[in-house]
Amino acid sequence: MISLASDARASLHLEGVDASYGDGQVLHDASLAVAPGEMLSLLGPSGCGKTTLLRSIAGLHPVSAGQIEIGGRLVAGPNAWVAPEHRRVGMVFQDGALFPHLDVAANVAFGLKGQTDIDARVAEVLQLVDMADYGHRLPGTLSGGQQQRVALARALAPQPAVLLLDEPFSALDAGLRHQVRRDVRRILHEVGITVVMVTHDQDEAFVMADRVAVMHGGRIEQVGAPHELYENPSSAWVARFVGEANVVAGEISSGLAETTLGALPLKPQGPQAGLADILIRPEQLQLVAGSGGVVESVEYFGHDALYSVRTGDEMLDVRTSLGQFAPGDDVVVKFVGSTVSAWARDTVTTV
Amino acid sequence: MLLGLLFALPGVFVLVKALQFGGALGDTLVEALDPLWRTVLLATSVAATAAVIGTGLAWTLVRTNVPGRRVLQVLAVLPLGLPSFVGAAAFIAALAPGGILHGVLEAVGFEGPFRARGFWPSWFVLSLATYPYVLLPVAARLRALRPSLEESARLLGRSSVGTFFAVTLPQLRASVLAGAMLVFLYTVSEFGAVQLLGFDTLTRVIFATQLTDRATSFSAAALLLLLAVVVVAAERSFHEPIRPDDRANSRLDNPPTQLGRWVVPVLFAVGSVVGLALVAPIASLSTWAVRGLADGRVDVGDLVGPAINTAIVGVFTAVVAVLAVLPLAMLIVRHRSRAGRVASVAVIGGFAVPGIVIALSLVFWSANTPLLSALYQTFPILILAYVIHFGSQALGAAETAVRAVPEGLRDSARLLSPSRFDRRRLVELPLMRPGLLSGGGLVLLSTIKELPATLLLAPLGFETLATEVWGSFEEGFYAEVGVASLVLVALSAVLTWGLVLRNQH
Repeated sequence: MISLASDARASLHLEGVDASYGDGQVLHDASLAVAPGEMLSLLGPSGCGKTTLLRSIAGLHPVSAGQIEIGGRLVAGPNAWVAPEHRRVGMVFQDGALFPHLDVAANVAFGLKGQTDIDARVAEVLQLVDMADYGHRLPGTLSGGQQQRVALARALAPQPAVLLLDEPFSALDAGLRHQVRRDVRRILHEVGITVVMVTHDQDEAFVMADRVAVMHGGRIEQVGAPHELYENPSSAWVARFVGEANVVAGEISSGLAETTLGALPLKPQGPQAGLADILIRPEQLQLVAGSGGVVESVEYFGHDALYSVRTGDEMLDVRTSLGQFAPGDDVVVKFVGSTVSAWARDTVTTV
Repeated sequence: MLLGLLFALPGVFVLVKALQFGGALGDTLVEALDPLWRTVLLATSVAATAAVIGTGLAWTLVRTNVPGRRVLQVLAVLPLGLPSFVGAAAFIAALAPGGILHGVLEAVGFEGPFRARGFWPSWFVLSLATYPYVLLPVAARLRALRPSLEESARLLGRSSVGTFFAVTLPQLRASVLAGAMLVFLYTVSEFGAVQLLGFDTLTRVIFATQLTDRATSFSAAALLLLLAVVVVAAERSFHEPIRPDDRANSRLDNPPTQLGRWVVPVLFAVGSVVGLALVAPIASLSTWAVRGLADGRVDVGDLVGPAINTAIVGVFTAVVAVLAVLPLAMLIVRHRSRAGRVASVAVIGGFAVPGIVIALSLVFWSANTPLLSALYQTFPILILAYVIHFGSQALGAAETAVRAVPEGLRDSARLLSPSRFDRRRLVELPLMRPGLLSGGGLVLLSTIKELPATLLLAPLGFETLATEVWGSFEEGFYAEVGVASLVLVALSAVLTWGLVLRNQH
């Protein structure tokens, strides 16, 4: 069992952080609060600034404005700069970044220089990641998943205040990715360390994290628990990024959204009147035989199927396990969900 | 296979000949022991010095925010274009009465005459001439290193200096060793500089005895050959197979290390290396050249012929070398042929065999074989020597060029166009061209700098810039040395820039 000193569970605060690459600003006014022991995902498409934000926390990228605190200590700010080696931050890179000339044990011991009982600590963390028998292997002889587990052990060994994961599973094959992901989540929960993980994969963010910060164009768009993001996205862009989404036009009055699918009950948040964009998730819809729409294509997944249905000018995605339809079939689309989200038309971010 | 045989010929020939002289061999070997020791001493010290300078410079120029690093990156490689015998000549000319250093030394109270002879001047000149052979591979490796390795080390608590020694340097080891081996081979086969600076190495013995005392000449050549082979074999056994970094990060821009208050000493160190290796020799040669041109003793017109000859042999050798190794490169890359591997070892061995040994064996061979005596001191035999010596430089580039046309691409071209000729012309050649050009360019560069083989094999009266420099120096005509050297240096500097530096980015 891994013991971490109580102060090792540190909080992380970012306040108005800006950062640039050359002349281009890649991070705008990023603010975040991560509680001690919490696991937060930074989710966004490539180029959204999520990796830069992570590297700013580590001290690998300079911030041009704002401040960063780790465990209450200011590490970057207007007049403060703590070098990466003094921030007590652990990081697991996309490629593992194991030192190829050192064996597994030496890699893990790398951050323990000057400490007592190094061997015991190395054995302990290797045990934790289930790599106890691999101490004398060179990184080049390990599989991708094993390398990432060693990288995790190496990052955890010096008991960092915060652990950063930079797309740690993206270099792995799909099958392996699920297994390693599950292992890592179990280990991190066991250790109870504060974690920030960068990913562009929505599944990964949702499965791993307590909360997810969605980033877009260098800004943090929304922070929340996975179900909050899915059910109450703050914009159509977020809605689309965190899942499949139909965004249709509607008019709002007295708690209902009038759409081509009928009057749909609204969530309490959002506009109370006027023209709006309405979010309908494909699983909130069903198909029955009838006239009104035509099935254009079918993606069959076994447990259910995703239909693209043309109704008038609109294309709607419908995910359902009921009934079987083929392209060309005439169908009626029925709303079967409980409530929908809406954004007033003029404030909508278009994709 | 035949090609490999051709390249292996000089080596085999020298060994056979050395054994043929049999009886005398024992005595001559004893005589050659001192030069052997001096050769090893010089080559080891020069290789070690070049390794330190080259690695330090590579790191500074690639990884730090040293001011003017773009310009310095170019200047630091340019000594590659300065033939070492020209460097030695410039050094001696600087100390001679009328040279730039002579005046300076007398001004601060030293008494002339100043003479640069023996180990230290040879070590000094050769180290400064050869460090780019380490700088280039190390800089390339530094650029290709995954930034995440060093970043990991920083996050695990190491300072930037600690990171360099614990993580970066071990990653560079293979490149440093490979570069140092090239320097070692370069130094053992060096002739011009040690001859001028009067340091008796094996090449000097060979040159001095090649007409008068064949037995000594051949046993010295055999020793030199063995030395080269031993070093190459040793380096190979150290060599860990370089695994291509196929999981490499897409982001390869390493944020430069901020030098802070170290910027002045670092800039001073880099400046002195570049100053001594490049600026000082050129300044020394220029003072003589300017003086010679001013008083009309040097006629630039005299150099037109040698310059044209230099260009002709250079281009000719480059074309022949590329054409000769291209089929071999295809054999190795596309068919993984065993015969191809063996032949490639012979071709690479050609570089390890000192130019003077190749020349010696070709002289002996052509002069003493009745059917071939017509070739003695002719243009073809000169080209042959160059091709054997420098073919390996074209081979590496040719392999890269062949690799630039992946199998998938050739297959799809095949499905689209039935004509083999069209496919070669429209698909393969355009893709291979950059590689082939740079290979040919490297050969061209080496050829115009070559001295000993040219001295031994060139047709009578066939002057190149290199032999012109050499001849003038022997006559003590420093002004002419200055002008001819500057023309040669300018030519090779342009080639170095175009071939080595432009391709780096």
